[in-house]
Amino acid sequence: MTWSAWADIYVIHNTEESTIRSLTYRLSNMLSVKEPVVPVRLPTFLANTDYFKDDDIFITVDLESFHRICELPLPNAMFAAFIGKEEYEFVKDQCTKDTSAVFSGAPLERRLALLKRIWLDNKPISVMYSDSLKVDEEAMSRLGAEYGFKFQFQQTQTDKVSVLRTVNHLGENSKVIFSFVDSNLYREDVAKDVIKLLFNIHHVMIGPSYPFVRAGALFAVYSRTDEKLKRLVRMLTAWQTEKNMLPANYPSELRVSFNPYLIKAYGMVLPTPASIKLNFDLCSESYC
Amino acid sequence: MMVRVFSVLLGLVSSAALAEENALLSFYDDDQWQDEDAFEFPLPSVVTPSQIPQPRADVSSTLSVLDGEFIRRVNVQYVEDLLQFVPGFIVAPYHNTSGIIASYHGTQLDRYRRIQVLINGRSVYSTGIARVDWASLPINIEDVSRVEVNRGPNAATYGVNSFFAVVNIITRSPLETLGNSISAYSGQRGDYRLYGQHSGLNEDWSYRASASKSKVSGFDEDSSGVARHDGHIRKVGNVFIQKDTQDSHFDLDIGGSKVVSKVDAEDYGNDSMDTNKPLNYADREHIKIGYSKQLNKEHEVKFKYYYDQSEFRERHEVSLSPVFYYGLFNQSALRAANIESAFTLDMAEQRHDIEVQSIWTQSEKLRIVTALGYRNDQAESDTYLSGKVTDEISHLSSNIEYRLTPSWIFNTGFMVESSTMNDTYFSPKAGVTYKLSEQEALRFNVSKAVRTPDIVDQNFHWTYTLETGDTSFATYALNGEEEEKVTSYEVGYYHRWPRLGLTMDVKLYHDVVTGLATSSKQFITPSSLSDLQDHVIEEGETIDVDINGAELELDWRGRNGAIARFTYAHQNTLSDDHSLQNSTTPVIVSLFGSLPMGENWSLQGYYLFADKLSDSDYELVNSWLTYKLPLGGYYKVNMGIGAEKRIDNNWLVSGRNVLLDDSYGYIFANMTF
Repeated sequence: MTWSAWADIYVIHNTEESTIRSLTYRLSNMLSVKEPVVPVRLPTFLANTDYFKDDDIFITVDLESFHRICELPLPNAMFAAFIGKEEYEFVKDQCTKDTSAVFSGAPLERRLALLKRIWLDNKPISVMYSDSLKVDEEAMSRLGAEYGFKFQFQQTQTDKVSVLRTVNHLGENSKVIFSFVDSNLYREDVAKDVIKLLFNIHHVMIGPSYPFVRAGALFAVYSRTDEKLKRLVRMLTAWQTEKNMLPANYPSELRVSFNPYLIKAYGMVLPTPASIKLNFDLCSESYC
Repeated sequence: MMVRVFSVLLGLVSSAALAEENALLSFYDDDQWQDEDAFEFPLPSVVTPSQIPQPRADVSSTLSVLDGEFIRRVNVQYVEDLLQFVPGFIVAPYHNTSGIIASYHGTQLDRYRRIQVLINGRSVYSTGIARVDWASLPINIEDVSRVEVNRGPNAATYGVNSFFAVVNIITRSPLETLGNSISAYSGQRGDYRLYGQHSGLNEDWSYRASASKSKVSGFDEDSSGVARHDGHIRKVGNVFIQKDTQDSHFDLDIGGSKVVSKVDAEDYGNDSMDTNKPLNYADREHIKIGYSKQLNKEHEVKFKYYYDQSEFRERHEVSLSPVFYYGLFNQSALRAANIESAFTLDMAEQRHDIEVQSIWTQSEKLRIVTALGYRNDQAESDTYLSGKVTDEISHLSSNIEYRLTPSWIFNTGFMVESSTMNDTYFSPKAGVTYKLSEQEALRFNVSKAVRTPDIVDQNFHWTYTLETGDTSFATYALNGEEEEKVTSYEVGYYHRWPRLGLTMDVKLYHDVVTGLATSSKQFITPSSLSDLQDHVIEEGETIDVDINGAELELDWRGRNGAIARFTYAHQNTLSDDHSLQNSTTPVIVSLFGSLPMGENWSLQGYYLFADKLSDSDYELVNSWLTYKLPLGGYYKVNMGIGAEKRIDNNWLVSGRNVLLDDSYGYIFANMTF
């Protein structure tokens, strides 16, 4: 472990280099304290842990990076971004250090409130998730009941065949799959095949993010990257100035996107953007 | 050292990063793909009326949809049996158990020919001898995803012979059946059915191979107490392969079937008869290739080609009296004793069909489907045609959906078809839907269709050739038949109450049918020594008839998995023709219910009623208990026991069809693994 005069911020990732460069650039521009924000690939990081100072700050931007670094006996502050709440809570239980996070997706109750408003089918709601998530099925069932929904849960292996078979299995009693941010489960190719299959059997998915809606999910409540970064900057600032680690949370501004083709196909009547803002505190494309 | 390297990197990439503001981070980066085309699929809606995916409430023709959930729950063993739960349909055997008729609006019993049937867009309507030969269709009900039935003429979309209705059977994607499943059914009469399938996935490719074997024991005797030689065994095999990419779809469908049916021995009179118990051997095979590509957001093109061939052979060993032999086979002298020989009835049919289709979404308001196609139908028969006959049909069609306002939707279209054997036909339709809400609509529809005479109608040259080489006098077609025409006027109301899980559809209709062919197509045996010659078959006998009626369909899906479905059809056929009335059913009712009882048990049942089906009421109940045994993961077993009872005490459709005991029990099981 080495020491230097000031702390650096490292963005540890296992994703596209060009993408992460864009992200770190945006983050460094938003920080009031101009400290270097340096992208590091996870394998490089793991091979060179001695280079980092104890007060360096680690930001992870994918589940694997968060998981792997969590296990390391390093004293550094660590923040996870682009991670689902259920993913974070699963890893956090195995973590050796205090961490915080900015969650992707949206709180369950916000999603359910909107679902109750637009989804009229009376069948149970299916929830499929991988073993990388911590899902409190009882608590979720209670919450679902408050909104008039009954959940059926199924944990699945994450290979494509298993995932698709789980969708078929769940689809026997349900017409909608309610999804979490689940990086191990919904890899891009799998997510598209799941949505394709749901189309085939005339079922729908409630997506965890905007790309799912573009791919064919009915709707998603989510935050934009800038909102996530704003929240992250608040956390970093609180840590840098007061050594105060703010609790993990969602960004304050959430938005909703609907798939217009599915809305039309199912004959749904959407509330107006103003009503969505007023009643659900969600931004839409045309109103925020 | 590391820090310095990273800092240098950061400096180098700043300008590039600006350009990648919306770059991909992961599938969870919510800025991703803002500028890309959406990943779109066909809408989860109905496709049959215009071949344009449309929400159910938008269509202007009358549609019944039997979805996968209903199909899995209703527990029938054959695809055609599903049609019993569509208003106005009768499904029953006629000559024998392999000669199933599935008729809509009746008008004919033997070899019913007035509906079009498609499997994945492939017409299985045979035009050699016009009929849908349900028993030989290479399809397993377990592979069926949904059945959409356009209850009304729709030749504007599907061409001639889409006369009273179009049945569109859509099979499941292999993605829906991943893994393996087996099922078995056994009935007290000796009926059984075995089915197995395996589906897999490799990158963008998926496939399913399925096979089944089934036996139907057949009727016991006819109404005069003579034992029947009835029943059939059927084997079906299918391979379905598909590849999906983001903007294209490819599928390959290969299937085949073999049906061996028992046939009653014939008594030809004059002390002449069959001496064996004849068997009818029928084979059918097909291959279909389909490809579609989304050229851009507005335009999709589809291509399909299929080849279908079928044949049957039925060998009769005969003992012919000298007089019969002399008269029929034009002999120069009477023999002293009966002639022992044999003849074979045969028919081979082939079809090549190729079509290119364009689906163009001009705007939110206007969508146009245009199709251009060519079909080659060929029939070969020593018995009925004394050779081979070919018909070539070219067609051009266009269907348009236009939304004048969000409430008013116009669906219109036409098809022009030119047949080398018959004529050129123009089949238009026009419909308008007024949406009272997104879940409620009124519709009005007018459509025309023709049913063309089949190849045999126009080219009959019917002879019997004995294995001794003797050929009989012929019964032949002189002028053939004219096409039948129907103009249908429909008014309908559709309403779905999603929170209740209830859907209702009502249809009132008036069909004007002209030129309905009633000629009795029978072989003419010389009746006297002065009559030893070829004869013209009865042809050109037609009637005009108006049909009025009302149909109701209710479908309810409970939150606990309960299902109820009720259909009612009332038909008033304005004709004095007895054979027409005899083959038409004024009132048809079906009721299906499925009630889960706890986690694992469920009770199901259905009731069917047809008033004066072939002059006799038809009424049955069927009920079964199912136990679902989850074995962990995707492994599960469903098993059950049930019973069916006819409660009308009549023969079925024909005096030939009598069961000594009209109730029976059965068991079934299926396993997914």
